[in-house]
Amino acid sequence: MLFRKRISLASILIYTFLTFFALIILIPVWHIFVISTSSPTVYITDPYHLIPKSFSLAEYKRAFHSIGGIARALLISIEITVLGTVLSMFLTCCGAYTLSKKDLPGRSILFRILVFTMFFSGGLVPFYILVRNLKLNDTILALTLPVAISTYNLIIMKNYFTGLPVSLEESAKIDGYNDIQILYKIIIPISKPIIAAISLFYAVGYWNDYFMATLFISSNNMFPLQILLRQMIIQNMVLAQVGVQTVGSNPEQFKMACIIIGIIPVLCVYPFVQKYFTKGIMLGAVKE
Amino acid sequence: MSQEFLPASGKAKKQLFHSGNFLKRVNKYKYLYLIFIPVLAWYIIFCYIPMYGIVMAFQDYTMSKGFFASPFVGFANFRELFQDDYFLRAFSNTVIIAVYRMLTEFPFSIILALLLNEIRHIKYRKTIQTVIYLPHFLSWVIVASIFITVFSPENGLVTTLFSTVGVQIPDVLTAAKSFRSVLILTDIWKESGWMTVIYVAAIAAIDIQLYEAATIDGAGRWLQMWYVTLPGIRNTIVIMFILTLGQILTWGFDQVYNFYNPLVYDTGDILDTYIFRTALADIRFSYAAAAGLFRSVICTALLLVSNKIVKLFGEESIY
Repeated sequence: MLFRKRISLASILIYTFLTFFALIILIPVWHIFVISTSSPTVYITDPYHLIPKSFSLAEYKRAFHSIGGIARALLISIEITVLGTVLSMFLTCCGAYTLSKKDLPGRSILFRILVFTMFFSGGLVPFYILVRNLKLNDTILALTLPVAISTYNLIIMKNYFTGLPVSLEESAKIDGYNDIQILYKIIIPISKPIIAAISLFYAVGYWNDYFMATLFISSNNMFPLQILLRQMIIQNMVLAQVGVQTVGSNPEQFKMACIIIGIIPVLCVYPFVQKYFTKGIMLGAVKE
Repeated sequence: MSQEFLPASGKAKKQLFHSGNFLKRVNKYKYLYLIFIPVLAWYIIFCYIPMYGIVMAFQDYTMSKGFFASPFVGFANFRELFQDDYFLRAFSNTVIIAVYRMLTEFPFSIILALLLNEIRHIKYRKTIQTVIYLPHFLSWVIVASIFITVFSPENGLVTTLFSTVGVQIPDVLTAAKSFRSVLILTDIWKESGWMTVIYVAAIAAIDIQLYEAATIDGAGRWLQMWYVTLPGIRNTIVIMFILTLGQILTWGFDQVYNFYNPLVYDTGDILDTYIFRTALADIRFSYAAAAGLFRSVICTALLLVSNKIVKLFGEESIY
């Protein structure tokens, strides 16, 4: 009896702690969401409520209609994410599949060439000068190509490919397929879980990137959303200075709406990513 | 027997290599080499050519003269570097913040994983996991924006909450004194949930029979946690610790860059942000390259050592 009581007290403590931690993560985001969607009159009288009192998408509409601002940045972010993910997946699949062949002559040398870059890099300055010299400035290519491959992701994928049964490929060979055809007609379709997981990781990376844009984008009309957010909120620049012009909007609410716009795409892909990493695919795949 | 076996296999390998088989195998994989060309080209252009750029650290580089015409200055940049108080400050800040993180965030994520494991209610556990993994996928720009909004001295949620109970909190985000705490707490907010993923997986791999045996022996929950779960994930903890140590110098640029301002350089400026500023704000390319090279060399050494140690523990590192 006594024993049981102690356990339940422990449970209560554990449940309370975890719920508390989860709430600390959720409340700030929720607060921003509620305020960004409350009507201006409610906001003026009560700017701190957590329980929605009104619902208005006015600031979101303004964000999308603002001259030269959010809508274009959003489009550029989407462009970067799509182009970047396609590019990354193409290169990563090619590299990973080639290296997954155990008896490929030169495999270990090629592999070492890749892994070495995980240990040593030339540093920021030579990289910066290189990309500038390639005349990629102010293009979407500058934000995607130089960071297209994550060696870590490539190794995870290589390990996954190595674990696939050889018999499939052998029968395809008999049907007269060459290696490239095997890769995109057989290997990629049966590797959907890992392809999806890695694509989503790349996509989130591109969506969240501000660093490459800080380095290589100088013209206002090429800024992705993250840069705009940075300028508006972190650097606290006046909206007009950032190139965003809205009429009749409340700057605080407007900024909050922009934060939510930056979060929503991540929230949309998150359940899919989560499905994969909770299954342990990522972790299991790491070990050879 | 194995001694006899080894040279023979070596010989066989050699023969295979020389007897046209090699070319045959190369030919067999010609398409794979073909698709590997863009990958290799990418690595050469974006990873290896910049490595050649480290000679900049020994030059007085200017954009107009370029790589080949800029004069060499030997170790002058490095000499200057080690007399530069701002560089030394950035270096010590990097190490201090890393140590703080290891002392707080690292154990916190382990405790979090252990507590998650105690939850038997699957739905509740999944919900908590969903919530605490989420911030990992938000960018530091977003996270910093959220905190700046919530802690805003004029009308932030937290500031107002405190002032309604009569406590005036200072502007924590822009004060040098509190900046390291801000970094650590926001990093716990964003990453500690995600860091539990690997521990949760390790706990799931523990043999269930050990728990059954412990229950029969009369061990309650805490004893089981102490004598079964913790020893079961000890190796994972050690490996994570070493791997994290190996990355201390590369940690945190995105976070610090989005939170800091000149007021907090004293406690918050780290190596990466310092290099970034010297390169891009001050346009001192050679000087920044020297600092970058110094950082790269130490990073490589740390990584190599930590990977060696991980292998000593009998675990395969990912490399």
